[in-house]
Amino acid sequence: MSAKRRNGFQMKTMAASTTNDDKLAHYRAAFEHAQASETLWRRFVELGLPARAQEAWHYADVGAFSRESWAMAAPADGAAVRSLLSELALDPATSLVLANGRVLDDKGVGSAAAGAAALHAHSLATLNEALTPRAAVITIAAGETKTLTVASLTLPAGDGEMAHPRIAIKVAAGARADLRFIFAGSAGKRYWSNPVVDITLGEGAEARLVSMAREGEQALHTGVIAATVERRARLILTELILGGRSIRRETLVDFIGEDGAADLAGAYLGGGETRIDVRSEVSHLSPRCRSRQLYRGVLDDKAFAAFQGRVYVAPHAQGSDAAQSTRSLLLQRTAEAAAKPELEIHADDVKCSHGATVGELDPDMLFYLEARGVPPAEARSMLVKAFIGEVLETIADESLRERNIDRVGRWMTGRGEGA
Amino acid sequence: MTVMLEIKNLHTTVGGREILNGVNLTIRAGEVHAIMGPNGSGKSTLSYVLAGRDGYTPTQGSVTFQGRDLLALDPAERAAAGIFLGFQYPVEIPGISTMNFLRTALNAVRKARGEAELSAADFLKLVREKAKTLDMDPEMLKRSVNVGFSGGEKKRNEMLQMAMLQPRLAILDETDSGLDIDALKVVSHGINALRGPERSLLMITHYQRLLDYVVPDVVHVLAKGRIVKTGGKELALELEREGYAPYVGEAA
Ligand SMILES: Nc1ncnc2c1ncn2[C@@H]1O[C@H](COP(=O)(O)OP(=O)(O)OP(=O)(O)O)[C@@H](O)[C@H]1O
Ligand SMILES: [Mg+2]
Repeated sequence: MSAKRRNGFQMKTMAASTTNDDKLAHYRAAFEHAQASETLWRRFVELGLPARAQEAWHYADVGAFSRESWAMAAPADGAAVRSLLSELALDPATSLVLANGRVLDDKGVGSAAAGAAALHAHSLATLNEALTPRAAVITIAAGETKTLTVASLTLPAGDGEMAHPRIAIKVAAGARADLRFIFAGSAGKRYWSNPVVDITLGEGAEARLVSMAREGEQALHTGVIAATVERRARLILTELILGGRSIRRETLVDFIGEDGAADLAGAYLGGGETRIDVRSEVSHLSPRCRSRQLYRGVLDDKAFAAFQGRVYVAPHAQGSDAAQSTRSLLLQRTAEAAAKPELEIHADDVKCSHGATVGELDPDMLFYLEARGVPPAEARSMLVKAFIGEVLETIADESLRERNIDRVGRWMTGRGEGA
Repeated sequence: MTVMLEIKNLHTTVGGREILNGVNLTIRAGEVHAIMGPNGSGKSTLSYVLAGRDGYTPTQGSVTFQGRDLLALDPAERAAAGIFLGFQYPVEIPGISTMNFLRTALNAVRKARGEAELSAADFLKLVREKAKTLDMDPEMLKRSVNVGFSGGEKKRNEMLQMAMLQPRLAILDETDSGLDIDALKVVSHGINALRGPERSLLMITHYQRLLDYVVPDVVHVLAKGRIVKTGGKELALELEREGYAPYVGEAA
């Protein structure tokens, strides 16, 4: 069902697969080392490495996957893990920690083939599935409520190492999940983290996910969250992206039952030469589902960010309601932002809207703050926090929200901007 | 009396046009001055130059504030030094609560003045007390700065900021416009509360009515970018009767 609608993932890569062969060769060794099945290898070859010609990867740093002979990272050094956890103010006793893709302390490990249909048509998710057969598995039984922090740390021994963390979550009917994800890693190393979060929401379930990606400044990150949403289930996702050299975050939502809801919100901040590529694909495959997308980008220096939001409405998905809004703030003229909504609608009784803007800090607002005594750098920082506020307000837990607002403040301070 | 503000031969070009051409003005500590003048004569421009707005740098002249070169300071430093501009059109800032705005501004100014930041409890007590004297509903302070405020509410909010920051020199640009009769009394009361031998006021207004409540020591007429007439409070009454016609001709 998914291959056709997923716009080019398969069709276009088939044509390119011969030139991809050389590039795939060194992945073959990794597949063999991981004892991945031949089926997965064939699927990976068929999908090919992401290429710019594919709509979904148009803005991605696709050269990165073959520029380096990526090797699997060995288990991470325990002291390095502990030090990064404490820097992130995380308690290893109460958090689920993955280091270099391996679940620490054998907490909830299991094998997990891709659940979400969308992941079967995704080459990097296939790579993840093949190279990390043991996933962190989180199950929330019917009617239960669970709050958990999941930290995925990448701490390689050297440059050119990759990790493929895999997290499979089942939220049973009527259950509630409150999950926080942190993606972080070594400050100075050139590593690649390719995490997959595969979550299924049973009938009437509710999942609140807050994801924070703050990778090292040399890092490549290509993360996917794929959610399969059953009848009357609701997904609430807040993403914060504020670190990494090249970072792609993708959210794939499939409404497979009626009356589902998904509220996606994301804030991304980039400075230096950071490249950010945010993509969402919300597939209304059942009637009367509602999706909201709210994305805000803040870009400084020579950073570049693209947002691609795709909404698909199947022929019988009448009463679908989808809205999308994306705004970017350029702190300097040398920064760049792109936004591309894609709507593919096959039903007629549908509400669909989208809007995109790019702007700069408002000089009148800055002057007003400064005229009241707020120093220029702090005034800028306040306005950036206000701009992103709409996204962070979607975090229900107040202390978690405050911590993330502080992170944005510190990000501004790190750029030489206020407190 | 010591001199609070001294403006000498001030010239300013905005958008390629000379808007101020030779303003001279001296305000002493404790004095209340009013500036009146036709629309477009440069009153707001003068207030922006004093507050240090980008694009309003003088081409000639000097401004001395409490003995310091005011023009060498950035807007935040001027606020810390004791300049307050009550905006003719207060700016809306979505996403920043009025409370947070007030606390950040007050603490920034206190820090720059070498004073300790106020504790959350002390701040709250102070802001509640000041809001009450201005007849403001404390619930309003939870809302984003000026967003969706009525014209009168915005002006009261300006006065609240002034009351919190306790400036040495408050420049109030048409603080009275848009206020109903009762609000004008409340706001005037707020302005009078700030008066004292150590503070000065420069009020820009079109109406005599404000000056009934906040009685000025000196009234100036600004026309075509310079002060063309200076007198006592009776000058405002004369302007109300005669209009600006005699002065507009003179300045040309
Ligand atoms: N950016 C600009 N570019 C060109 N002209 C400008 C600019 N800003 C202001 N002006 C002009 O400067 C003149 C003075 O404006 P200012 O706002 O100081 O007048 P004012 O005396 O405050 O008027 P009002 O009583 O209507 O408030 C006006 O003619 C205005 O059009
Ligand atoms: Mg004006």
